[in-house]
Amino acid sequence: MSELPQDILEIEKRLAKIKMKGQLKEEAVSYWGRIIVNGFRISTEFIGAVLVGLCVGYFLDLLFKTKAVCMIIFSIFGCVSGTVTIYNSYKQMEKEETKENLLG
Amino acid sequence: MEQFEIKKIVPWEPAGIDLSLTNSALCMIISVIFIVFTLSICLHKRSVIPTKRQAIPEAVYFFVQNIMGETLGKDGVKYFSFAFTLFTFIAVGNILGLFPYSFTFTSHLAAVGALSLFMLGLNIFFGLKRRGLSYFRTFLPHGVPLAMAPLIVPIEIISLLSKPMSLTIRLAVNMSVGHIMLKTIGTFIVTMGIGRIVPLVADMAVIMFEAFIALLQAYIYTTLSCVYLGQAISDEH
Repeated sequence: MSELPQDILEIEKRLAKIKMKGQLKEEAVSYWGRIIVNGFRISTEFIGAVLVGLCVGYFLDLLFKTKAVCMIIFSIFGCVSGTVTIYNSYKQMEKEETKENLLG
Repeated sequence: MEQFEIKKIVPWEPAGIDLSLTNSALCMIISVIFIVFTLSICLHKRSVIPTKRQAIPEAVYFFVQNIMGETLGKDGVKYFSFAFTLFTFIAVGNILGLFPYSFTFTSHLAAVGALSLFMLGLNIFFGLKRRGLSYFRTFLPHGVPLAMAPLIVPIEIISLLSKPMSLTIRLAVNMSVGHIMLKTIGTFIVTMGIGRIVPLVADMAVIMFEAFIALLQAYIYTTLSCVYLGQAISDEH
């Protein structure tokens, strides 16, 4: 089998280098992207859950004329739900990181 | 705060229902027309080796494809058109708001909230389609005693509803705050007399930062929508 000419080998080397560079850049973007997304996610999910709890409680109070009882109960539910959501998000992030580390 | 005011452009109230064309609706229409027009022009003459014009939508395509791959895996291909539409619509809406005399519809809780509620409906629909009635097991995970149901079910329902709420707050607040900041610094340019060069430079920097935030928020909204969709169709909970 005849060997490839030197210039073709050179082109292959350069292509491999460019591909590697692109891959590293993509990985860096994806890494920082994930960090930003997770940061925004955790910071607003808790607030979202508390607000939903308050809204549900407020409308149930209007419906049953219980004035503030449902709002208090559901705001507590909202806080718990927010904490659970953050915990679940954290668990998911940890799982993704472990999976990535295993894949190298 | 007049930049956030919704103004009626074409009043129309059939049978007492307000269906007027507002500045917000007009900007949404302009966004959609802009996306369709740009994509049509860029992809008019397609070739295997992309031209510069073709490379723009292809870059956006691969960017969204990357998001889908990271969040939904192989299953993501089915929902690609949905994620692409979502990303381009929000990104163009955010950028459009940076132009003078324009309107940022993504800074309104009602507009973004409606989009997020639509997302929630879609998640429930795809969840039910994929998993059938076992989708409702999400509200009472495996291993939880039935006696705990009155506590766990409301928590899980609030958790489900908090997803569109957090998506809405994140996008609307980020866009509103940026625009308020621009306007405040803009006021200094008018009132500061000879020292106006300082707020002018600051305003230019903020505009550039806002353009970055506009794209970043579109990326975050799309990524998290895909994450939530992935959770809805995933069997593990």
